[in-house]
Amino acid sequence: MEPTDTLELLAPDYGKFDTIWRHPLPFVLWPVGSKSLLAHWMDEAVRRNVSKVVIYAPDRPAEIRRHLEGGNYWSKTVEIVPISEERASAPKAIRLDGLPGSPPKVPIDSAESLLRRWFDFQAQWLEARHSQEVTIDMEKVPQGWLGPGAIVHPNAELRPPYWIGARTIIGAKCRIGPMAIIHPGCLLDTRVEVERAVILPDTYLGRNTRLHEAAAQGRVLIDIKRACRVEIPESFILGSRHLAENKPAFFARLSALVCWLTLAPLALLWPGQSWEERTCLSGREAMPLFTGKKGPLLLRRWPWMKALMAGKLRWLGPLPRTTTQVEALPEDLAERIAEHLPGVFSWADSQGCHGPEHEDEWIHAAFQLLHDDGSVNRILARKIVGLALTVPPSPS
Amino acid sequence: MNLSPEDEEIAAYWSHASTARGRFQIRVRLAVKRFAWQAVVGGSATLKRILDVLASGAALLMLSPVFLVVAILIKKEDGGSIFFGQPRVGYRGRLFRMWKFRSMVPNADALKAKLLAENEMQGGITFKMKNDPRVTRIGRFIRKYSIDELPQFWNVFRGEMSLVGPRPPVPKEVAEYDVESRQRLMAKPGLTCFWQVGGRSNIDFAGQVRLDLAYIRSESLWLDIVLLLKTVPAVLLGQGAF
Repeated sequence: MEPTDTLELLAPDYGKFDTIWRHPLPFVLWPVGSKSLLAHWMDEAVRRNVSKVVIYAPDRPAEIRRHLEGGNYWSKTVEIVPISEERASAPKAIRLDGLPGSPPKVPIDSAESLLRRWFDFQAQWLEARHSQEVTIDMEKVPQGWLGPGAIVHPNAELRPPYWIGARTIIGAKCRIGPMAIIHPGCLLDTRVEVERAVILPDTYLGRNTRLHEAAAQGRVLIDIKRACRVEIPESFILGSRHLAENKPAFFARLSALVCWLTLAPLALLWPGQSWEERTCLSGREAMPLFTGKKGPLLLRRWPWMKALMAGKLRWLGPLPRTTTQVEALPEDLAERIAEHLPGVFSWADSQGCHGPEHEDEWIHAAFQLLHDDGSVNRILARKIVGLALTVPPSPS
Repeated sequence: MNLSPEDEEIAAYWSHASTARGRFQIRVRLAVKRFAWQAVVGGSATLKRILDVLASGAALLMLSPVFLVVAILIKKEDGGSIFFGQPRVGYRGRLFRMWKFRSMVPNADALKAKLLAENEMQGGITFKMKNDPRVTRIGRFIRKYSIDELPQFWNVFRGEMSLVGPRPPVPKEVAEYDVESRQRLMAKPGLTCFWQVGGRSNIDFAGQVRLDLAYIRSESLWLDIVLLLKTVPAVLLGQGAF
């Protein structure tokens, strides 16, 4: 059958309602089961055998474009049309606030209804899953799915419907289900109960914990019943499964050590060098940071490499700021700053702004944080030698 | 109030967690658990990549005399290009250029349209013919013993492919896939997989998809090694290759 038609979709702008989860991605990219809501609609485009998919995106179109990677997986030509408001989309575009084949009954008009709608999608997806004939996941019992490489302790109790993603480990005495969706790469310790809950990828759920009508992502817990968000400070209760959460990699620290040792004589003996101490934020923690006043950036920021070795900075990231400087930023940017480690070299450096006190620096920091997937950092890495040797102009 | 043994155990745990010493012990246990996940589950992807780099690097070095001889023979037969780079669909639908020794006449793609009616592949999505007239004399030999596939070690070395994984399809084939069949794109494509070892081209399309998904489901380093070892006799006997 030759593909003939164009499928027009509207990715609704629910960013204004996302005040609880504060998800870095637009609503259509939130996970529904094993893939995003938009990916379910792209599958629908394959089923309808359309030749082209046009997506009207008033909310973060760049993220949508990046997620779809040109539509190659679905063999569809995808056009993302950024629009300023939903009304600017084509009249016949399908509004993506439901799964294909299940139109929503209640409109989304608040933060609570947005979360509830997303949570309802999970149950719908799990119920519809048995209709798929060929799947990567293995159906252990009717409506009980196990992904590739998932390990379940023999003492764990699995109550369908449930879906356990690839490479997840379920510990002893765990009770999983009914209606439990555990995404790939999770680690559930001994005696964890998950019922009517969603655990998002690479999350660790600590021993003797119970999750009911909730979603967990890293250390963020979303209570669906009460429509609230809690950040769990203790990583042994809820946190990321990664060995080093939001920390620089081993090789980054090693390279910092090498640079710190080799540059020490130059940095310390640079003519007229003096050091200014500031208390900056590394994530949410304060750290003292010395900065040189003379020489190229590499030598001025030589003490920062010690902070990098300690895991408080990374090589590439927004510049470190004091608490006062963070508080002066717009609220959502301040929140993003708190969630990411600052860097020794930043995008702002490449644009000629070498400190947070520069009036345009925060714009570059926001840009870098919005593209924290590595795309900006890859460009920066290519310029790193030039950046390191830049001598900032003296303040007039 | 009577507590069940399980409740008592839970209460004791949280009471222990409220002390500094208890928290320290729990954090150490957590670090061990995270490390165990990395070693048992997460490490297999890293090991697979290490195996790919080492094996493909060694193969490229050791087979360089074979590459030279084949290159001379191809050039001598019709003077055309030695290698044939074809766009293929890789992991999660990413396109890449897969390299082969050229085994067909230079205008093979133009001739394919005329031969579509004689496609012997069941299911109709992939195109194969036992006596394809477009195959050259040296091409017939290198295809029979899969020598034409050797340049793909370069793709493996670059990370676009793996030693073991579903064969990468061409974009035109993928365009015909249904949603279920597309799941075979969820693994990095490889040089060999279940169906190359089992019966190679003699398996129909639906069977290939089933076997590819079975591989993704049970993917492990040990399985990869077993499949690689089983590929050697399949290649040497030229089973199912045409």
